[in-house]
Amino acid sequence: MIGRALIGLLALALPASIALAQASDPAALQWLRRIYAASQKLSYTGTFVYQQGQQVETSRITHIADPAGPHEKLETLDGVPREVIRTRDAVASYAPATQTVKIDRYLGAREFPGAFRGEIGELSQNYSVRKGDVERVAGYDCQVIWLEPRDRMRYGHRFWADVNSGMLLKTRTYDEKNGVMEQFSFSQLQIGGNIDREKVKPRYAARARDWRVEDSAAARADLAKAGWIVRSAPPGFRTVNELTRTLGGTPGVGQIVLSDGLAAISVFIEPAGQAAPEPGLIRQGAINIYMRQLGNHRITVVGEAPADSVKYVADAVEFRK
Amino acid sequence: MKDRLSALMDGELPEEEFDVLVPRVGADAELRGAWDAYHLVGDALRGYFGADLAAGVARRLREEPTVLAPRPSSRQGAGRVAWYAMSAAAGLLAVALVVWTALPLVRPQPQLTADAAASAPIVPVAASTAAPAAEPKPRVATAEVENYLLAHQLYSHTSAMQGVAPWVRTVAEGRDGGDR
Repeated sequence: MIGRALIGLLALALPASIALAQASDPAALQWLRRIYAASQKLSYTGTFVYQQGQQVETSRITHIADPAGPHEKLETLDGVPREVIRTRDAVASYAPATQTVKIDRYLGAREFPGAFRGEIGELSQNYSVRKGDVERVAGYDCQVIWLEPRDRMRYGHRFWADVNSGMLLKTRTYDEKNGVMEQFSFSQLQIGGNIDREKVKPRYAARARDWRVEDSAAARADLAKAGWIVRSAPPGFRTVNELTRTLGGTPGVGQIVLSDGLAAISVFIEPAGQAAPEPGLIRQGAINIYMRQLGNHRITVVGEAPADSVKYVADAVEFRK
Repeated sequence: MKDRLSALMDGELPEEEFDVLVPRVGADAELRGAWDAYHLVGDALRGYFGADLAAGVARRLREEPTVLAPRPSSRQGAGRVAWYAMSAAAGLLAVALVVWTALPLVRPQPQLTADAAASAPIVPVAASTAAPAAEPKPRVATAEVENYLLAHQLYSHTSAMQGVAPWVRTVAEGRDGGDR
């Protein structure tokens, strides 16, 4: 009896979701490429459910593929109305309650569509990618793809992609104990067909003329030259972007982005306000945010990665001049 | 006298009485014992005792004199609940014993959030990992957290496959959901 209990405990302690030496299945990697291609070329509109913990949010998403770049809109259907509009150049977030538009511009048009293409090799070094069964989501038959982390520095994922179009209909993120941290899932969806362009226009555009606009004014930057470095990244992560930007009204905030081919971790470096926050961790779904003080700067690390990875990065930030 | 002591504990004792009562508590062994017991019971009810109960009790007893001051009014709520629960019972020590034995011995920290999540009705996606209880949570406004999420989301590669969907994280209500 005790022996069995012990084995049970051991099984619990072992990271069941970690795929140590398993090679990725080439057919599964091909599925990832297909999912990516579908996200670029398909037009769709549907209702979408986001779940994390006991929180459930329903939104409407419409995406219109266009040779000149995609037009996308997300609008919340529960709670406070919000809208996010994404185009080739920028993402604008409209908050009618506070009468604010937040605009985040892509550094270059190149960035966004090409971002994923070259990274499947890198991704498969950090995750074991395998095909699962075919399951139904929102009425569509979907191929299940498992992405199992090769170590504890990243989360596991499971994707459901429409067998016919390759479109990603559902994703789940798993923690190191194989618990579901977050789920995105379409509950109703129309792929292709005639989608009204009005559906991707901001509802608040006319009224928003008088709203407060917070523009990120992002620009490429050499933060290492300015003295800011991430001494060592967690295994499998590397720096992919360095920029300066305006954040919450503070200009000149440094941002360093690290990626493992799938998950990203951002480091924000800004002058600390009068009241320096206590160091600590905030979690939002699969996103961990860790803050600490370094000299008279506040270091904030945000990533869809385990708390340990995010803290690892925060502790590795240094100023060398 | 005991009710004056309870008022003192809750920070509700008028100032003039405070000046009289505090020296008396200091001099009177019986009053001091009651004062200690009130605090022990209050602490136990609030779940402050962890795994190392005996050492914790001993330490608390040693530390008692240092809390001989009115509590700030913001903490009155918890104090009052503890006192009402206590005064309804016949014997202080009996209550204390019941509370102590009722407390799970191996409990790292009071984790109301995790317990609530575990006992919740059928929820398709379980709150599987709350942030470690020992980890302090920085005081950051929701709007500020949202700014970081927005700024990060643009560079997250998952959005290359999922399109605009992950932005729902930045507009979702009930922030801090993972910790509640």
